[in-house]
Amino acid sequence: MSTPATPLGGSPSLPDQPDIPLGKLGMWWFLSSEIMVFGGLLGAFILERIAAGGWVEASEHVNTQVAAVNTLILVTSSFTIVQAHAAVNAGSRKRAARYLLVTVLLGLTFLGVKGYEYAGEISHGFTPSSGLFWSFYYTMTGLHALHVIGGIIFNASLFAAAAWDLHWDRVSHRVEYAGLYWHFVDLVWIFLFPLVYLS
Amino acid sequence: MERTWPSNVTVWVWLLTLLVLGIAAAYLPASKDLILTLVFGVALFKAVLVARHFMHLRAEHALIYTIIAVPLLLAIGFAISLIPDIIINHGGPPAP
Repeated sequence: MSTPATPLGGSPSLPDQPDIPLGKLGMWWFLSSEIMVFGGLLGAFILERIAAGGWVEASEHVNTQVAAVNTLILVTSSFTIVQAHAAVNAGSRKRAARYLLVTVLLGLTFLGVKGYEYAGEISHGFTPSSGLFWSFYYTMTGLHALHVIGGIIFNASLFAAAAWDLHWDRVSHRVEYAGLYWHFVDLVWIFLFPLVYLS
Repeated sequence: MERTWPSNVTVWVWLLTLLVLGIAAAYLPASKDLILTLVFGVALFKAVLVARHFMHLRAEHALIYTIIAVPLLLAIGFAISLIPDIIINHGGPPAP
């Protein structure tokens, strides 16, 4: 019986798929299930919006300027985490730590801005029970925010490992997996932004 | 000859430029259909940039493409399969 090969980063891979680390394969499987979760939700939103009237009026009350700032923040955090991955490939632990820290801070900023946006909408009387548009709005953006929180925890753990050299040699390859997850969160927002705020 | 890819900084600048273009398109004095086409066209372009360059899908194993394609096609297919109900029972999209 052959032992699974161990490519870069120490993550084992399938015997007949030697160039795909198991961790990366697992992350892609997880993301594929996430496509179904968000795909179903966004699909239901689009169909309900086409079928039901009155959504255009409701969507005029969302804060597009604040959401645009959040889009800028999330797109930039996608850039910083891909730079962290590049730093790992270049063997620079400290540079990877810096980029991971910036990614975490940008994620926290996104949540802060989202909290400010929620507070403004709730103070104007737009709650999840204000209508179907608002139910979808809070469900979709709330689920997305939960994913941002998950990504921040993942990225923060890698930042700690990089900053204080906590078994960095054994975990540095996970920056690529954290990046894949974070980019997916960015991708979801890339479609949520025009759906909720611009259409 | 080895193919060269745009740097991460170049892709990031493209993403920021497209963000501005997408927002500007939403405020164009044009028909709603044209605006929606532009806004979602820009979003699709941004998504392709992130997937190809940041997620490295420009050069990935065939198995990864399969893993992504199946749920993506299912999610799109399920939404499309429900459109006839909207056309028949709701008379199509509401007038703008």
